[in-house]
Amino acid sequence: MESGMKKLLFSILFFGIVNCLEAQQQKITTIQYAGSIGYLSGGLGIANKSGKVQHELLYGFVPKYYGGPLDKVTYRLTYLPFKIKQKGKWSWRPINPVVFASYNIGNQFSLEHSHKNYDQDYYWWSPALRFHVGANTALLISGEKQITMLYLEANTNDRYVTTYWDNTTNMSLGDLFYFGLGVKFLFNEQ
Amino acid sequence: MAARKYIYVVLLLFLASCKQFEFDPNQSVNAFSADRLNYTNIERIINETSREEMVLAITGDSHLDYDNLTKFVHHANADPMIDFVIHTGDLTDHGLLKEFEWAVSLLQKLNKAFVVTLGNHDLLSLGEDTYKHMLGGSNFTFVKDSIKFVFFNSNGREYGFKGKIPDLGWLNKELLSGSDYKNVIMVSHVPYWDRDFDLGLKPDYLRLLHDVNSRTPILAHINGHLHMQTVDVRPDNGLLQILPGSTGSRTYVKLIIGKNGVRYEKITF
Repeated sequence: MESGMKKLLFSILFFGIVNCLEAQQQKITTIQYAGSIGYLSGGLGIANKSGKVQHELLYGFVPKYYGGPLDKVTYRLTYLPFKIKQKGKWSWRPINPVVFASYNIGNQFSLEHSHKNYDQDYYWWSPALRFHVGANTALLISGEKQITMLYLEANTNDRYVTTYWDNTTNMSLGDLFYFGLGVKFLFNEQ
Repeated sequence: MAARKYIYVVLLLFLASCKQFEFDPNQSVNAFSADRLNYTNIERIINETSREEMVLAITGDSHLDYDNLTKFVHHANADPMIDFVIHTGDLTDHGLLKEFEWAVSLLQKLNKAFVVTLGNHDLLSLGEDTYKHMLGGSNFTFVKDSIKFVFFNSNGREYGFKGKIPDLGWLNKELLSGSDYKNVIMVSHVPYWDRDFDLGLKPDYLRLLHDVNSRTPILAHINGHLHMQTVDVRPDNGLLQILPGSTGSRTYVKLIIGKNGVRYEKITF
């Protein structure tokens, strides 16, 4: 199972990198609050010419006070399919799907549970690696040198979805989706 | 314009204080987590007026089966004879904060007090911190009607079988001293004959049970983990052994403690 997960993770990354190299036109800098990838997270990314396909690599942390200490890295793919309103420099992209994989770094988390302590498949899931899906809604402001993208993002992950699936009568969508707020700066390549 | 900016700031602060903002599925606590519920429930048990008989509903291993945990809550709520509920551990599956919150919010719908034991699944990820914060310490006792209830961590495998779990020093201290009780009820997740118990500690543990039982008779030895409902007298030490079965198997055990001893009912719901 370990190799299966690694393969899946690497194919996502590989697909992402190839896609970027083909049409790399913009660079992204991101800062985000919450959204299941850290109390605060930040990172860099690249987007295609139109800025519609965005790849980011982010690092996030949770301080002890907020339920950590935790460190995690995240690869996120965002697609911005359409805008519905434009007023001068402002435009609104109402719903933009995201998928991301996040990995907790640190000794207390590993890709899979230790086989020293447990038989294979005693605990079958990965404690460190989570797969998330979600969507954000974004306000874009065009500037001279960059586009500023303010977004509110909702996501859920593999563990929550399977739990929800088994307990639909006792759980609501509020148990499934969690939010983050962020800002991205998209810079055109010179 | 200034007013509009002010509204935005207030809106952002409101959103940021909202429960739906998650930092990490593996985070151990958040600002909204329940606080040491076992302790407040124990206080409630101690302060409640004693009746002729004390009735416990024993359940456990609910994992992620919230539908059946809800059915259990309804069933127990409909029985006014039940004084309080004991959950024998594995309240969660992956030790995640959200799983603790989901399960605890269902247990809070009980119209009686409940006490939750620490299970091996509850220790995964940062679950031990979450349990400590939301429910309390992993080893604790209380006395009600001259019965000492002893809850302890017996999840040896999770600590690598290093001879420290269960904490026999603590158990010795709690069970072989004090004069404010006449009987004992012991509750832990992994039973001592199971391969997930630290079997190196088994001889000392059995000796302890023997010593305690001859000083202050053990009314019941309660565990979970095995997901099966059995109530029997153990051939190796003559103790009444209770395994309530998992919530998923829709069974629990009612233990009735009266002046003339204990009896039990196996319940299917």
